[in-house]
Amino acid sequence: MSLAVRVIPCLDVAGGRVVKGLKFENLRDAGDPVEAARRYEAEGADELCFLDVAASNEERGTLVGLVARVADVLSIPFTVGGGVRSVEDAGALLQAGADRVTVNTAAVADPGLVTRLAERFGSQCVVVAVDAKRLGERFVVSTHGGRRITEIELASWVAEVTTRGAGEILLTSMDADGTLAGFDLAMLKVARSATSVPIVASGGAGTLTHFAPAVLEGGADAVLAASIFHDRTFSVGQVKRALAKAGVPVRPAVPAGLERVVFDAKGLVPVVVRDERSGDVLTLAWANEEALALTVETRLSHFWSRSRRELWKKGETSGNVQRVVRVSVDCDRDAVLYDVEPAGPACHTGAATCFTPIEATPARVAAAAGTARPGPVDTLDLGPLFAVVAARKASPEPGSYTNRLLDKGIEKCAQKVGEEGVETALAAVTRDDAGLAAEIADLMYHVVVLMAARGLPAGAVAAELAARRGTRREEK
Amino acid sequence: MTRVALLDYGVGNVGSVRRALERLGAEVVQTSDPGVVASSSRVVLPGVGAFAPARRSLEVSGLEAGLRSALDGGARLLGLCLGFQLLFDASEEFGTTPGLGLLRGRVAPFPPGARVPHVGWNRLETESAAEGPLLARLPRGTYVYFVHSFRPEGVDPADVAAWCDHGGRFVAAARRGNVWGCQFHPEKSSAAGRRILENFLSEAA
Repeated sequence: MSLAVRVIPCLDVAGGRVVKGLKFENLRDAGDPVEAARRYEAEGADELCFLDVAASNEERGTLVGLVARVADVLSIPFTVGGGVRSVEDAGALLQAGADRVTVNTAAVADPGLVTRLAERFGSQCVVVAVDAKRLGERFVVSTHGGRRITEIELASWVAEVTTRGAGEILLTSMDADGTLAGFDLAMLKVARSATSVPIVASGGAGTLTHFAPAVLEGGADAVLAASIFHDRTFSVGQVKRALAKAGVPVRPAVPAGLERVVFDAKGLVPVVVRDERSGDVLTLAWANEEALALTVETRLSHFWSRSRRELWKKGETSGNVQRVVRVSVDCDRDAVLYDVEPAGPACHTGAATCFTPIEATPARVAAAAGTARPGPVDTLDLGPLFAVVAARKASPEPGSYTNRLLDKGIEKCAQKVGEEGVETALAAVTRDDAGLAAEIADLMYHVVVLMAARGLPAGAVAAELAARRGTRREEK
Repeated sequence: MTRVALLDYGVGNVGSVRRALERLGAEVVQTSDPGVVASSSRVVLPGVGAFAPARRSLEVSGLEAGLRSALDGGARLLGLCLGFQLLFDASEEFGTTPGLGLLRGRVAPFPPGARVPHVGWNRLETESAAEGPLLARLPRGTYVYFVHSFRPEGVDPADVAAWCDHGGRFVAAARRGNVWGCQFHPEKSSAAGRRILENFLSEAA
């Protein structure tokens, strides 16, 4: 059997809206289930699960409307549940475009509902959601979102709903749910031994290493999680790659568009990195499929290091991350371009770009050839630096060195300028050009941060410099 | 814009197929009118449920005649899931029922031991290096979404477009001239499914 193990993001909805906000980049409406559904499909989700947590009768129409809107955009299967109490409730959701419905509390109160649903719609449409709890050495079924504990044994309930025609069991550990401590493997094994229908493991996923054991030890056919996906702790692709590395068959999650990229025999593709504001080429590096997928999913530059033979995220240690505005592919599809907003220097030497001239600049070449004419001046534009620092000040980012400095206040910024000034002076007499350039870059960066901390606009300095130039001309 | 006749013969919810085709820019006419079908250049035969009542409904409604006349006129047909199974000579689902006979083979249950229904994402295996128009531009080993309990056997090897493995190899997609079919659901198979539907809509053959 080579069915892929499914990775299922779950969205809690109420009144037709996502209850917990989704922290996707550039999401116009973090509470819109339709937009979220689209994002998750693009990211490689195998299926989506919508649970109506309010689930009042008055809201039934809202849920049906939501299902229809989701069905309009989605081309992967999706399951809907929450408050399904009758064949009519389920029929309305399926007719609106849901592929499956889940029943939970209502099935415990009336097990015949499972039979009626399976007879009417077929087993493949019927998912029984089981919320289980540990009770000493036993596992029992709970209802009403875990608030009521029954005396029903997990194994006997799973066996019963299977006999009644359930096509799938969505097993949530109410003890593990929300702990981020991992799935309850013992609970999964108990359910596994009681049924042959697919089991979806839910509750407790917190790290990438939690998923494979649910399948390999717990016997789950699918894994479901909510907050780690919504909070962007991990992407669907990251979970799938972790499963694949552990030997679990998954449908590869290749972000939309990336299937066009052609990798070389070593599985690599060259990546040109360009500063989106200045247009400067910053770096030429390499990426494998995982690095490319991570770049697209996290919107931060990732590469493959050929020397260290490992995946790396730009700025992991230096803090000089690159926010990716756009990923483009070359016409031959064998090269990729990242357009980025750099948070700091691109080069490990501390230079803004990895490229330095190895021959005379055009102006000098022209001068040497005796045909001197005004060429481009070898100059330095601090505009992008001011822009990045201003952006960080306006909307702080976790892990940003600039924000840490600004948070510490003007004294700290001033002290850094002093230190960097001394280091620049020392480098001028003790280090090579690259070393000096790095120290000057540090100094300039810290001066820009100091200005931001004081609220001194760049224009004030520009005006002062312009005034001095004017003075000198008058002296001539 | 390509006009597609989506056969409406009272078998299951065909909304997802209609929406998937519309998202690709096709003009979809959901119809039970044999005349409309006969005059269409693209015809989709969807289907969820049992073989025998579906077969009967096709015949009684006159849609079978419309379908055959469209095919005679050079229309391209795509059978999906039960609609794929209906293309074969016969089915052994609850007794033997003759099919449309557009493809050689019989629809039979999975062998004992295979979990039924076969629900989920499974890999397509394509045999020949020469890719046919149905699966054109799809990488090898692409995953697609299945929901079914029966599958065809004894298919003419020349018609096989892709295999899949579930309790042994079975034919997941087939093509004979302008008769195309998929056991899986392209409308639920994300980007891979979109590409298959694009291939169906395209002018190339």
